[in-house]
Amino acid sequence: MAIKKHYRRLLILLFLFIGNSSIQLLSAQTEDWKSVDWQIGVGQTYLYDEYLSPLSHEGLGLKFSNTSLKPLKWGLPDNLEKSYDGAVWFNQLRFSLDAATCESVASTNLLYGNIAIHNSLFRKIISKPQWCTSIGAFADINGGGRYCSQNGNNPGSLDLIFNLGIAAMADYDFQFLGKSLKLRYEGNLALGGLAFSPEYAESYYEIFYLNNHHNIVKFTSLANKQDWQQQLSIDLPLANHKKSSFRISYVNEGRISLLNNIRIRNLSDYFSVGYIHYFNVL
Amino acid sequence: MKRIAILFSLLILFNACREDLNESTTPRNIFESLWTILDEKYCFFDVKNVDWDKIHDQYAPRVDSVRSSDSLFTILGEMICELRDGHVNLYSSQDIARYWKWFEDYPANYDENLIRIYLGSDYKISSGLQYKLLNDKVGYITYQDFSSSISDAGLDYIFDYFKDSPGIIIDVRNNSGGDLSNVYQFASRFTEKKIICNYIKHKTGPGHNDFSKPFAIYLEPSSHTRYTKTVVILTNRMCFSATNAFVSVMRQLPHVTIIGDRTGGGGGFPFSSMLTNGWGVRFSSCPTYDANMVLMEEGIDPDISVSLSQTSAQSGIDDIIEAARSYIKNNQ
Repeated sequence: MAIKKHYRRLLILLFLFIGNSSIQLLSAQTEDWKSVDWQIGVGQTYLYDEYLSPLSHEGLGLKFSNTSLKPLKWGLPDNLEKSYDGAVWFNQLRFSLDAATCESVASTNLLYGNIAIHNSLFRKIISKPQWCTSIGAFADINGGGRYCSQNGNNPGSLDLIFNLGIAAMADYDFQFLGKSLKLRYEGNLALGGLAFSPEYAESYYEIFYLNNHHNIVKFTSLANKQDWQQQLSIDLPLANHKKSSFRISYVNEGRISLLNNIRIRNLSDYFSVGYIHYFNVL
Repeated sequence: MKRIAILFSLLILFNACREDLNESTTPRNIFESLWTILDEKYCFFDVKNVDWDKIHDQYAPRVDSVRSSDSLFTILGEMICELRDGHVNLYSSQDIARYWKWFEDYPANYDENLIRIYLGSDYKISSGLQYKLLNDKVGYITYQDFSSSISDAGLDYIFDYFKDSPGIIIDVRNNSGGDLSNVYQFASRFTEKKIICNYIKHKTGPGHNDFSKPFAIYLEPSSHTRYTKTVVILTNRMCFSATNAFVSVMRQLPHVTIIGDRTGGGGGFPFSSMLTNGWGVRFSSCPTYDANMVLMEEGIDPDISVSLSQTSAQSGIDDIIEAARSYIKNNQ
């Protein structure tokens, strides 16, 4: 019965998340503009997973992300004819894929992968001619893990994480050498959620083959899991192209957890390059 | 400018988040690392009556005077043997430290040459099983390694092949273990009802007594052909780990009898870890129990104890197989 209760909670939260994302995507049909960016990054990843190894591993990380940002009609008059220039609510949907191969001082290898779907809702709180700031909330789902081929019965460590948290975005427009540039900072911090975790030395054989699901779904909070992402990017307009920009970003993200007495740290820094396109800009 | 400075300071706020580890490769650190891994994750300290803190104090001074990698490996190998556990090993590129007294100190009760005599050259092979109808129509199967998978189609054929036999012998002597899933797949062919066959616990924290509640492992009848005539399992001291688990499961079944020698034990489901110099370590992490919650670590006694005699072996006779054949004939 305890197993079904955990799964019910997960399913309800997943349904709400997917449902909300679907509503936002559907509402795109009535929106005036949106921006979509694609980025690919390379950088350094640091992994420490006590379940797999007492050693830390560092190595090359790769990241791909696709982000769409669009204004919402909330709070605007129904008979608004012009574009959503006055919009104060924004929805951001990001899909990202991370992969890393890391090595320890003992030359053991740890592979890492993660897929995330991240949905944020922002409200503009400060809007000035040159800069604006928004705050909001987000929900995301992460699936992935780490793999150590040198281990026997404990080669892998699975991440299945649902986060709810706060987000912030700040834009600063400035001129440089006659070009209009945009500096953007985005940050988000998970405040809580759910995460899968085996118990301290519980084998995945016991969980998935013998079906012992006791205590493997944990409620998370800042007390037992810190999960964040920060991105600082600069948009450089492409020549003669109002709707497109070249984006260079620095991304810093991390996940530190202590669940079921297992300490895990995933820290990454990436430099990304990408392309951002504004659809339906007048 | 002030705003940009604030943004950058936010970026570096979370960067000093690495685990504070000592990953040096000094002999002392390698020793401490090995000792700590076992201290936090090994599951049989109380069962084996080992004072691990005392072992630390005993071996630490020897490590401090080490001058070579070989010497360090020898000392650490001796330390892990204090646990008297066949599932505890230290691996380097040149050697594997192990504790094998659980079979080295006892008669083998197995002779591969005798098995070749019984099998002849016309035996059949299905995945990890070699099998034959002996001349008295008793079926004989030898399964040497539970890492070798067995196919359901193969087992269906084997049981059909033996359908007119009064019983079958399953010889798992010298089978030192393998994949537990093969154990339950094979055993499920011999039960007609769902039974609790084992229990397993795992560590929930680094303390020596931080364990979960026992979790029951069930054996369900296979949907494929099941065999319910007399079955005899042959065992010796080298029956270890998954084989030991197989014997513990099978002996609960009413039509199964265990003949031979006590098994070697190995009731700890092992995990792996690594030391800073690249040496690997394996250790028992999850204790397993039989259906009566008796720990399987120290081995399982047979129902009928039979040893291999030299005299018989010289005549090409395996006393344990002969005891099994006789038992099947008398218990059809």
